[in-house]
Amino acid sequence: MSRRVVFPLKVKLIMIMVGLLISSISFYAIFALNLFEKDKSAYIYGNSNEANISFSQSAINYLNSSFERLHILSFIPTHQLKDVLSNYSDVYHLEIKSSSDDKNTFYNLNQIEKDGISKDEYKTIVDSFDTGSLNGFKIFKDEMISFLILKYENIQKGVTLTISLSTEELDRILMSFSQYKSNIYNLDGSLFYSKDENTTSYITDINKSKLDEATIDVDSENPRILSFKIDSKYNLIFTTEILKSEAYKVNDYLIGKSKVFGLVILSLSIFIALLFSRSLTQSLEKLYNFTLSISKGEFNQNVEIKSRDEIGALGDSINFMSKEIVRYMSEMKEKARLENEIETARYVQSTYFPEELIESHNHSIASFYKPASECGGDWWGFIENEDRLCIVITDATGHGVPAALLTATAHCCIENLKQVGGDDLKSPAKILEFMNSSIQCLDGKMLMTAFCCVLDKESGRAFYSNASHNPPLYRGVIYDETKKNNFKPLLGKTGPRLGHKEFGNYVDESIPLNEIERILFFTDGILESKNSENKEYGQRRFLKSLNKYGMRNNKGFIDSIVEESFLFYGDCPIDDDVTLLSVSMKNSGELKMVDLNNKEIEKKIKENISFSSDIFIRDTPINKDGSFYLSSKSDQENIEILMNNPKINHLVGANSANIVEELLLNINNYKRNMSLGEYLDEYRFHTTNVHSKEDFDKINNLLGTLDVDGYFESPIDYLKIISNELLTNAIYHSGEGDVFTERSSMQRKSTPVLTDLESVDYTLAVGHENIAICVTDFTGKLSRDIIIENLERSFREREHQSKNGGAGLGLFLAFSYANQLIVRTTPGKCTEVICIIEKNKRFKMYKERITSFHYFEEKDVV
Amino acid sequence: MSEGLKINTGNENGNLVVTFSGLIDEDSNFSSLENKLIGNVIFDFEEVSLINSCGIREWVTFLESVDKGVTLTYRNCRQIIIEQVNMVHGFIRDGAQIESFYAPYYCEDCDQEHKIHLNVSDVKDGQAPVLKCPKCKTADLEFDAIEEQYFQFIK
Repeated sequence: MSRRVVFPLKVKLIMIMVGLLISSISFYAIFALNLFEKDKSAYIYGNSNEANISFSQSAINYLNSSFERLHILSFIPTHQLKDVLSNYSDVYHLEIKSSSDDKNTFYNLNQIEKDGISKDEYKTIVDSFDTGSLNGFKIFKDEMISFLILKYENIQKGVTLTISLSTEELDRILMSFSQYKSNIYNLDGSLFYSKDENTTSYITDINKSKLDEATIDVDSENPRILSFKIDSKYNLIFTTEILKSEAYKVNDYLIGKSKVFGLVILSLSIFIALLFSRSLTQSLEKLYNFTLSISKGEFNQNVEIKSRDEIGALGDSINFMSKEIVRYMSEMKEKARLENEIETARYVQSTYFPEELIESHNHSIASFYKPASECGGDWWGFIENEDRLCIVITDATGHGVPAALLTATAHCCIENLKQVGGDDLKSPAKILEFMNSSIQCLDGKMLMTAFCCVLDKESGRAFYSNASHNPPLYRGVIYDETKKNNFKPLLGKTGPRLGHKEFGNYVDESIPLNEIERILFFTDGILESKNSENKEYGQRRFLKSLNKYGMRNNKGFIDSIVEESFLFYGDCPIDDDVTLLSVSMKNSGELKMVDLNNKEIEKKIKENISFSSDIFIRDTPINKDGSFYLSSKSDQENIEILMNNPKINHLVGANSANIVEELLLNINNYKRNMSLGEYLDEYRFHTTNVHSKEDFDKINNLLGTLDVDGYFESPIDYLKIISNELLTNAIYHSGEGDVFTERSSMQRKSTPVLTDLESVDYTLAVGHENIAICVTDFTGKLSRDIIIENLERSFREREHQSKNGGAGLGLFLAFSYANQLIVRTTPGKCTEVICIIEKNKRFKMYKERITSFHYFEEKDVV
Repeated sequence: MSEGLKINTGNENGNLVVTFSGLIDEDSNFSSLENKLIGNVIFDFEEVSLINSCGIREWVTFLESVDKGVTLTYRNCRQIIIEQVNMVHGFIRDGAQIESFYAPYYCEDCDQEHKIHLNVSDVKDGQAPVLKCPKCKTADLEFDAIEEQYFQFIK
C-alpha cells in the first residue's frame, strides 16, 4: 500500500516560494540599501564639507573686509572719522595711534549701550584687555559683552588702528548653517570663537588626518561627522560638525520604510503561494486518493480534475487507464481460462504417449517428442505381444489443440485395436485402414499422415504400410563406417493420408526382420525446423547425424540426434512438432547369435556354446560390442579391419584348429572376467618376476628346458622372441610420469631396474593343446588403440622406427609369431598380454594359422 | 644380460667371411667390423640363435654404415633369419644376395620336420625343390611353409 505522507507537497511548495522570496528580497535589500547608504553617505559628507567651506569662507571674508575697512580708515582724517564711524553700527570703538604715540579713541555709544553697558564700563573692559600685545585680531568675551578686536598698522601713514567689532556678524555666520555646529579654533586647538563654550576641537583627529581640509568621522562614543578647514592666513581652523545619527536620520528612516515594505511584499507573496499551492495540491490529492481506490480494486470510478494543465491531462489519462485495466482484466480472465483448458489438453495428450525409454524382451524403444506449441499434432504408439511389435507414428495437419484432438482419435484407434485387434494386428495396412475409417467422420477437414510397422518375430519379417508419412529409416546389422550412409528408407506403395479418402487401400510391404538392427521413425518437424538464418535442418544434416551416432545404443542414438538438431536450431523455436523414435531389435535365440556362411562351424558353435543376448558371432565384421568376428583374411587385412571397426575386440582366425574352444574361452572371459589360470588351463608351468633385462637369461633357460614334443621344430625360438619382446616392452614402458617418459625413450643398450612393486610378472603355461606366455605389467597403459595402431603401422611400413627407445616392432613380432594374442587391460592398473602358440606338428600350419586377437578392458580390478 | 653376439672373420678364396653366432639384439656391437668390410663379404648366419626387434634395428643401422661398394652375400640363413628378412624391410640391402638358407620340410612317414639347407638356385619359380627325407631316405619331403611367403626374399 501507499506510504504515509509526512511532508505534503503543499508545504514543500510554500517553503520553496517563501524561501525564494526571502532570499531574493534579502539579497535585493542588502544590495540596494548598501548602495543607497553609500550614496547617502557621499551626499552627507559632501554637504558637510561644502557647509564648512561656506562657513570658513564667510568668516575669512568677514575678517578680510574688517581689515580692509581699517586700512581705509587709516587714510581718513581724524576729524572725519567720527562721522564715518557713526555709519558703522557694529563698531564699539576705534583707536588710532600715530607713530608719535598720539592716540585718538572714538566710541560708538549706540553700540555700547545697545549691549546694556555704559561707556565707562566699556572702557574699563577694554582697558583690562591688553591691546598693546595684540597682534592681528582676537575675540574678547565675558558675561556682559563679546567683541572682536582687530589691530592694523599702516606703516605708510605711520598709524596703528585698533577696532573692536560686534560679534553679531560672526554669530550670523556661525548660525547660517543651522543643522551644523560651526566653530572656529586656533591652530593649537583652543577655541577661537563659538556659540557654545563646551566644544571639542578634535584637534588630535584633525592633525592625524594631516590634511588642511577634509571631512572625517570622530568621537566613537557619539559618532559624528566633522568637516574642517585650516586657514594658514589667519591660523584658524574652521569646523562644522554634526552627529551621525542626525546626518543619517533620513537615511535610517528610508531603510526602515523599505523593510516594512519588504515584509508587506513577503506576506502578500506567501498568501499568493498558499492560494496557488492549494489549487495545485488539491488536484494531486484527488489523483492520489483515486490511485488508492484503484489499488483497492475499485476500477469503476472516475477522478474529476477541472484544471486545463498537465495535471488535468494526467487525470484524464488515469481515468482512461482505469477503464483499460477493467477491459484488460476481463481479457486476462478469458485468457487464463483458455490456457487452463489448453494445459489440461496438453496433459491429457501427454498421457497418450508411451514412455521415452521402453525395454522389452525383444525390443528397445527410445523416443523424443516436443510439440511446437502447447499441444502437438504428432503422436506415436505401439502394441506389443510375444510375437510382434506394432508401431504407429502419425502427424496431423497443423499443430495446436485441433491437431491434438486428432491425435486423440489415433490413440483411441490403437487402444481399441489392442483390445480387439486380433489378426488385424499382423497387417499394418489393415491398422491404417481402421484408423482411416475412424477419422473419416471429420469429413476431410482434418488429415493425418501415418506409418505403421509390424515387427513379426513369428514370420521373421518386418511388415509396414505408409499413409503418406516420411518413410522411416532402418539400419542393417552390418555397420560399415566407411560407407557414407548406412540407413535405408522403408519404401513401398504409399496410400493417402488418413481421413482423405473413404478407403485408403493401403498395402503391406515387408523385409526380412534379421536385416534390421534398428528403425528410426520420425515426423517431418525435425527436418523442416529452421535456424536463425532461416535454413532448414534438412535431410542431409539429418542423415549425417544418423550415421554419426548410428553405433550408439538406442537412447544415446536418439539423444545425440536431438541434441545435434536443436544445436542447429539455436534459439529459434521449432516450426513444427518433433517426434523421433528408434526401435532396435534385441537379438534373441541362437539363430540371431551365430550367422556364418560355414554352416558346419555354425552348427558346431551352436551345439557347444550357450549364448547370451549380447554376443554376436559373424564371419563378416560387425562393429558392435560383443561381436566375435571369424576371419579368413590375412593378418595384415585383419589388422586393417580391427582398425576400421573399433568396437570389434574379438577376431578369431577362421582356420583355428579349435574354434569352438577359443570362442568358448573368450566368450566366458568376456562375460565374467575369467582368471588367467582358467584361461591358460591347468598346466601352469612357471611364474617368475622380471626386474630388468638381466633376468632374460633365466627366461631363455627356462624356455630351453621346455618339452615341445608334438610341436613343429623349435617353437622355442619363437617363444623366446615373443618373451623377449613382451618383457622388453613391459620393462621399458613401466613407471609413471617422468619415470615412464625416461624409460620409454631410454637407449635399449641400458636397462631400467624395476622395483619389486613395478616388476613384471612372467608366466609360462603349457597345456594339452598349446603353450602360453603371459606377461603382466602394473601400469595398465596398453590400450586397444595403441596395439592396433602399432600393428597397423608395422604391417604397412615393415620397418623399424628411427626414434629414441624401442624399434617399434616388438608387438608386431609377438603378434606374427603367436597364434593368439590376448590382451586384458585395466587402465592405469595392469595389463596382461597373453601369446598362445597352438600345438602343431607342421610348421606350415603354424604359419598358416590366422592370428586371433582378443582385447578385454576392465574398468577396475575386482 | 643376453648371451651376446660373437663375430668371427675369416678368408675364403680372397673373400672376407664374417661368421655371426648368438643373439642379435640391442646389445650387438658391430664395431669390430669397421674398416674391414671391403670387396666381397660373406655373412654367415649359421650360428645365429635369435634376432629381436631391436636387433633388427641394430643390424639395419650396421648395414647402412657398410660401404656401398661392398658386395654382400648372406649364407646359411636360419629360418628365423629368413622370416625376419621377409617380414622387415632393410634386413638385406639392395644389391646383396642370399646364397643359402634353411627351409622347413616335413616327412609324413617319419612324422618329423627337417630343416633343409638350400641354395637360392635350388628354388625355381618360387617352388621349393622336391627332396627325399634324409632320415627314411624314401619318402618325399613336403615343404613345410607357405612357399609364396617363405621365398619372398628371393624376389
